[in-house]
Amino acid sequence: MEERIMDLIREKKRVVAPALVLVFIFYFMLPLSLLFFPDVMNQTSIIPGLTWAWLYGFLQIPMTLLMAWVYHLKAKQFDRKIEEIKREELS
Amino acid sequence: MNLTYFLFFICIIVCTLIITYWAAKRSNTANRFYTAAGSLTGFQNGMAIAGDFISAASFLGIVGMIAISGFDGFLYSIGFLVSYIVVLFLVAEPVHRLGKYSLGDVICSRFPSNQMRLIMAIGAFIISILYMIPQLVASGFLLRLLLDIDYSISVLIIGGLMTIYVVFGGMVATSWVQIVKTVVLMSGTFLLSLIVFSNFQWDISSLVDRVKEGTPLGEDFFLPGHQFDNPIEFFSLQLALVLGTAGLPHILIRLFTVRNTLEVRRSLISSTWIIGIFYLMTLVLGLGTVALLGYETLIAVDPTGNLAAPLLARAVGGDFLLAFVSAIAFTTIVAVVAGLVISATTAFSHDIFHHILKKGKSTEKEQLKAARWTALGIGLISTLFALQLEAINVTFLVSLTFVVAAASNFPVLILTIYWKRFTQIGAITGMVSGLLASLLLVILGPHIMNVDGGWIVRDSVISLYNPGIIAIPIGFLGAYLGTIFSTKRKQSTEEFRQFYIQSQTGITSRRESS
Amino acid sequence: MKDLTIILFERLGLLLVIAFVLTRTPGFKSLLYREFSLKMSLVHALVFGIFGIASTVTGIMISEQGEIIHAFVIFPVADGQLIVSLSLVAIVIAGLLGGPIVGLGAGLIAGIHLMFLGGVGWLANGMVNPLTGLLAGMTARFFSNERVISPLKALFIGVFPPVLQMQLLLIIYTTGDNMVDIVDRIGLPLVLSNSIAIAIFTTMIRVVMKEQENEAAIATKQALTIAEEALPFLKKDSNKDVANGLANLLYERLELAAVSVTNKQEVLAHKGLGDKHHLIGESIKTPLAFKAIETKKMQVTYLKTDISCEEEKCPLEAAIIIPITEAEEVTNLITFYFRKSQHITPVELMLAEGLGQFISNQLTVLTTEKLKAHIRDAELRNLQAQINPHFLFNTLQLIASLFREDPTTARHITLQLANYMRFNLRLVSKSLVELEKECEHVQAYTSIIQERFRGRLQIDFMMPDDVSGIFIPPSTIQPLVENAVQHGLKNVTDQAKVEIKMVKADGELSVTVRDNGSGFPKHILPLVSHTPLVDNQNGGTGIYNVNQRLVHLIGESARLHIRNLSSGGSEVRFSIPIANQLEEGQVSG
Repeated sequence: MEERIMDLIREKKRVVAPALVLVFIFYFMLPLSLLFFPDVMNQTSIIPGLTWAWLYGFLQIPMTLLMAWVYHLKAKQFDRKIEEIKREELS
Repeated sequence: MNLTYFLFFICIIVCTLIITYWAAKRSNTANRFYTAAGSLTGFQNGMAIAGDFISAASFLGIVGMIAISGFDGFLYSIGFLVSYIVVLFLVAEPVHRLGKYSLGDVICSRFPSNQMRLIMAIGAFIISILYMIPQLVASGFLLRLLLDIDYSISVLIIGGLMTIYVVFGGMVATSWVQIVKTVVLMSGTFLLSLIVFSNFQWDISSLVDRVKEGTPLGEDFFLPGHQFDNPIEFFSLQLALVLGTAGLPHILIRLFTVRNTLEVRRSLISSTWIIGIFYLMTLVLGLGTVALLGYETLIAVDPTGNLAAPLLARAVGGDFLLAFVSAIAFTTIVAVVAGLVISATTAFSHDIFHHILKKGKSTEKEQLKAARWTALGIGLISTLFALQLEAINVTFLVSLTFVVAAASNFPVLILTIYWKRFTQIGAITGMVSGLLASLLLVILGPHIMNVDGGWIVRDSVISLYNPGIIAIPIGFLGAYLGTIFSTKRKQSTEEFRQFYIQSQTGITSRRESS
Repeated sequence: MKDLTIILFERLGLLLVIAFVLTRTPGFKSLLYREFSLKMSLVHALVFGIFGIASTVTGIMISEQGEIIHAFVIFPVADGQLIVSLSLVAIVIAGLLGGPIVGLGAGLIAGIHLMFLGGVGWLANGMVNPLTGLLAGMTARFFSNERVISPLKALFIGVFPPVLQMQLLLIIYTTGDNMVDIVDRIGLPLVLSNSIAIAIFTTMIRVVMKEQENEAAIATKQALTIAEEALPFLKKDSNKDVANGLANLLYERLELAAVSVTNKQEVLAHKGLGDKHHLIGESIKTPLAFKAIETKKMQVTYLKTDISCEEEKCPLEAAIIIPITEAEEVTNLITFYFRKSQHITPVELMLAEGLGQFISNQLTVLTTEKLKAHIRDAELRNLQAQINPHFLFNTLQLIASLFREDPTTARHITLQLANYMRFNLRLVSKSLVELEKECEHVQAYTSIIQERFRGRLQIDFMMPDDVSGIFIPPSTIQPLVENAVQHGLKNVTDQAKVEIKMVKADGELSVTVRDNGSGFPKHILPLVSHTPLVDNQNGGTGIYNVNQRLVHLIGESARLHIRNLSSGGSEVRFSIPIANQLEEGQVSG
């Protein structure tokens, strides 16, 4: 049983870890891009009135919500499989 | 301000608190000082978490920062929000599975030891005080605005009242305080934003134009960099913000109040939504302040920007709206204070008093008394500190708390859950080093050590306002070194495996021998 | 601001007066207690919506220059004027009482009216009402589980809707600074007046509901009291007594014009108005009464004609006829008469129905009890009738032994035995016999016994001269004598004496049987008449049996009193009343 559990956890990590890295990159690129390409960031983006900087900033919000949702889905799967294992092995 | 309006202000606060009381009574949750487990739905808990989190800093401070510095102020909001991902991905479910009442429970489930509890409790205590101070500062400002009295007196009055309220068990320790406050806050802010928009006939570009007129930064207002010209400063702040929430005890203990991990996730997602929407609205309010009130006016009344939101309310709605918005702000503060004191007193009376001093043998009454004394202590200490901090935007103060949390609790928590080789000694050294480093760096930094207006009138040793980028690695380093150099009390692989499985899945296998 | 506040309170006063009058009308009261249904909700919404409109009409206007216009707001106002309406009071109450649907509905009605009236802020006014109604409805259940929310809670909740209204005004109207000033002016007064008005109105509604509840409580109490008091009347034996008792009780308690009790053919009792011509013994004429008998259901009439009383001036105009059933058959009718048909209210109808049920049930229970008593009596008699085999055996032996020596005595004894057995048979078939017959029974027994124990036993028998018209349960004296002979004289060889005495005094007949034997053993004494003692053949049960039959048929007063005499021996005694000479039906059993 432990093997199965560890396998499951590893599988979950395989999704979650990259996602987290993605979040971090997206997040930290904001200050970093302001550092490295300030001019580009201050140009008006595809949305009139908003610079890339602002757009990027706004995008952090939907990004957060989206990633939270992704995690939620994966975790639900994970929970279900754990329940299965519990039922099989421990009953 | 008129006495009538002040009475109105009091009236709204009283009404909100009374409604909270009814809501709490109705749900039959015991008015226990500790959290009541398992009775809230995910969404309700999410509202409670948002309530605990959105403090005066978010409401008053950020609006002010955006009004003064534009983009850089908005970055605070982003940092605060994204930190929830870190909590959700890394910390939430394990914490829920491993602990019952306090963070100390979580760490001690792997390293049971009284020393550990003590350190964790002290950490929680410090963080709560640090989070509390800006709340008192903000309420001091508010009262000063409303009643036109001196800041110090305001702080004393507020501090005194809050302490009394908290000590004498007005502390309805249920999540309903937070939930009602969230509802009131969100609706109030929403309506205020609508008012701002309608002032510009719902045309954003005209809002933007007026903003540019209202600020001395002019066109540049929307450019980043007005606050953080130093990229390191920038980065350091972002780091502290994104990792800090995962180290805040009073937020994490909210993960104990729901039934299962599904609800934990739901809570966090709900609170993320709520907080996200809230920060969008504060952006509107910040811009609105600049546009409708003007930078100069704002600075004239309050150079820290703490009062931006109420002043905006007065500009668009007169004394009536000012009273209302101030009441909302005040309720927000009271709610957060309540949450903070709960977590701090839990740490003290549960971890220190019950486990350590009384070796697990104290009655609930005794614990309650201990909790009350702790509350008194916190109130006093925070008030004393708040008195000295008249010149700072409260968001700064809160971000300092985040640094401390990110440097002390966060590394220890992460390493406990995920690092196989982590030892008890490592945990202790990690906590201690993180705490010391962050506190020290703040003291040595320009907030405190400032030639003009700081506590210590000297040139600051460190130029970073936000020492996260130094303190957080120190915390991790401390934990690492402590682990490497501790030879005894290592855990076997098997033990860690059991622990890991439990933290990840909730399955506790009790096989003695197979 | 102060002026505005005062004016608002004045107008509120007006509204509350109207509201108060409204709550006094029976229509409103019934409104509060109807069950939940979509239709009722819409009706509620309508009522409260109209009230909201009335609140707007009694509101005030503020002119462009900021002056307060005192006139009622009946016609659409000019563009620059602002209506200050108190409609939120009604809407919040609608939501709190009736839930989201009622709140929304009432809000829509009031809101549309406001929009129609126009003026500054028409949209805000129009929007805030439905919104408030909806929110109040949704949160009402959240705060309180009572039927009507407490006024205090309503007070606090009432603070928020005007705040919402002000915010809406600010959102929608931002041309110039005007609105800010206006909000400053009217904000606080509205908050204050609204919340207080809501609290007061809620209190009024609570009062109404309390009244209704009190009424219901009183009616219930009355019904239960009547039921309790009716019980003793129902237990009476004579139908006439029962009828009279019930009629009197109901007439007094229910304040009816008249009450009559009938059986299937004729009137048994009538109390109240019209007793001059609704006579006892008169046969039933009303077709409605026959219908009640036939359908076994309660009948109500509001028309004088249905009562079909011949007397022109009969003051009785309406009636409720209640059939009383016993074992599925209607045996009696109780009629409530009223002077006016309006006097028949749901309370009376409910009471009538309930009483009918109750009395029917009670009669069934009583019948069952009587039946049980009869059965028991019959059982006991059957038991008693079993002749002691030893007695028969001994007596036959006696006859046989006397046969040759003293044939006359033998014949005498044989005849006495025959008599004895005849009486035993009679025992089974009747529950009461004339005292003379019982005395003969006893004497039959004693002759046999005296012959058997000739010389050793003396039996004295004393009875009053006139024993006519006295009835006694059969075989109550003989077993006592038998017991005295068998047990009392068990250990006595001669000079045994049994004394049987019957005395008439004070309307009672007392019977005493004494012996001069060894008396009852001490430990048996308290038990003797209460439990059948089974150690001796038949002897113990005899006394128990007699006692049971006496008590069941006549009552506790007739129970056996047993004691040991100080001079040695025992005494068993009982007395029965003579006065209540029971009807023939009883005698034949």
